[in-house]
Amino acid sequence: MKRLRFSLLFWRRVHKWVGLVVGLQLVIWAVSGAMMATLDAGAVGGHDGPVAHGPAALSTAGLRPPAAAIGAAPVAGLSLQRLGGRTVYAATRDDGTRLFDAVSGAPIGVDAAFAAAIAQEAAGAPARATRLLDSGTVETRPHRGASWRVDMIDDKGTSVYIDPHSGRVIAMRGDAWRLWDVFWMLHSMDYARHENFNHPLIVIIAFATLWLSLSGVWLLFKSFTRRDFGLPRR
Amino acid sequence: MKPVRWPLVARRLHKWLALIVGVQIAIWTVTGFYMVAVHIDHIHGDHLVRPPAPASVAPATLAPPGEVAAQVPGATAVTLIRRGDDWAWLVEAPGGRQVRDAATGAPLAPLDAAAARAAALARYTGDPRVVAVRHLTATPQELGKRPGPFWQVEFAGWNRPTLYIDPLTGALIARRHLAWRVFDVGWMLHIMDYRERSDVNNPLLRTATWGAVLAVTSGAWLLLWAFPKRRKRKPAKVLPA
Repeated sequence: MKRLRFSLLFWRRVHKWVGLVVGLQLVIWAVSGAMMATLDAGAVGGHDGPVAHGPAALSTAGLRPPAAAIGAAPVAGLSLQRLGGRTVYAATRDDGTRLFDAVSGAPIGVDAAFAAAIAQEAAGAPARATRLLDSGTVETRPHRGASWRVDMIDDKGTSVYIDPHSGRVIAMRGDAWRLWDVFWMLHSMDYARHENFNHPLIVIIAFATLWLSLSGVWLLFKSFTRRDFGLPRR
Repeated sequence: MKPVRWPLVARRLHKWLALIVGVQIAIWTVTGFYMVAVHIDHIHGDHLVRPPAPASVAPATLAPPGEVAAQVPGATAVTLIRRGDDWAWLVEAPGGRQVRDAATGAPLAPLDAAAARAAALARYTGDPRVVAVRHLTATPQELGKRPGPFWQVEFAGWNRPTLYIDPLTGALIARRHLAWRVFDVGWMLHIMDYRERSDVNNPLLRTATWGAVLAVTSGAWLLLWAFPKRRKRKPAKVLPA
């Protein structure tokens, strides 16, 4: 058997065969990385949560005390806040978070109109269309449950996702984010959900790519002659 | 005119582009490999903490949050929080946050060192030996741009596990350990923002990434000639006997 020799020829072979196998993904990583560096992160927006518009001050006159609105049963969480033009209690118990009007004490279901009102507050634009989604999408990630999708009238194609129980703003996504997300999908190689970058496929390809790049750096030292830099031969 | 020797053009292009961006490409693949190989939940230190103990309170025992809000000019939200073993109201207002006793509405002072230590110990899952409890007013590198102050509670261990506690609310703000810190350096090298470690649009990164696109594309082009077709061997002549 021939002894394996770590010669110039060996590293050239490694570089070209690994390049043949994972080269396409390396090109995709380079292009998607360059695109994400080019797309303005401010326009793309955060991965989760709304852009903070300074919330309105609470009007504290004429509010019921909590027990007279949300009932006497113990709570794990409670807040008084402004939401969709109303002053509400958000009470968290074993069955999740529910809303109550802090003035009348009536329970509030987050219907299409109320979801649109919350979205308008968050996005600072009027709502165009509202629909209920049964389950999570790539745009609502990491939220997996149901949500209201409220499409806004603005020049950014903004959609606001609202939790149908708590009225919480799950995410705000615009066209800049959607374009960015295509490149993120390609970069993370999670073609279904765009959220997991620790899956076996990417680990294997990234490991192979290490051989490609490190053999390439080693070959750099072997590929140039003094003549390449206009220096006389030694 | 001499015909253009495309393999030579591609090879020269690849070689010279690689000379310029090759080392950075290697840095991207090494840091990228770390980021995909070590699970992000581990990086985030999810294993370092347990969820807070479940607790509930009867609404009738609480000071009405509307009355609490009325004492703070411009209050925008009042939220019930668990501070240590007590319930409290967190009031958010343009002038800053305040924490008030849940039952009486009286203002509460920020946590002292002992309470911060207890808050960290209540959540920490590892070896409960505390090395140091420090009050920080300036934001350390590992908390990014978040404004202080903080309680920094460092635990014993080779990976220097550290929990950060909000002095006002007692909430766990962040958990840090060696794997997170290595990731952060890797991230800095990956996005080439050596100062803030956060600007993914910096000119250096933009230039280097598009340079890398050219370098790897020229490499892909070079593959066209990297695997020469085997010449069909002529059948051996049968020599006359």
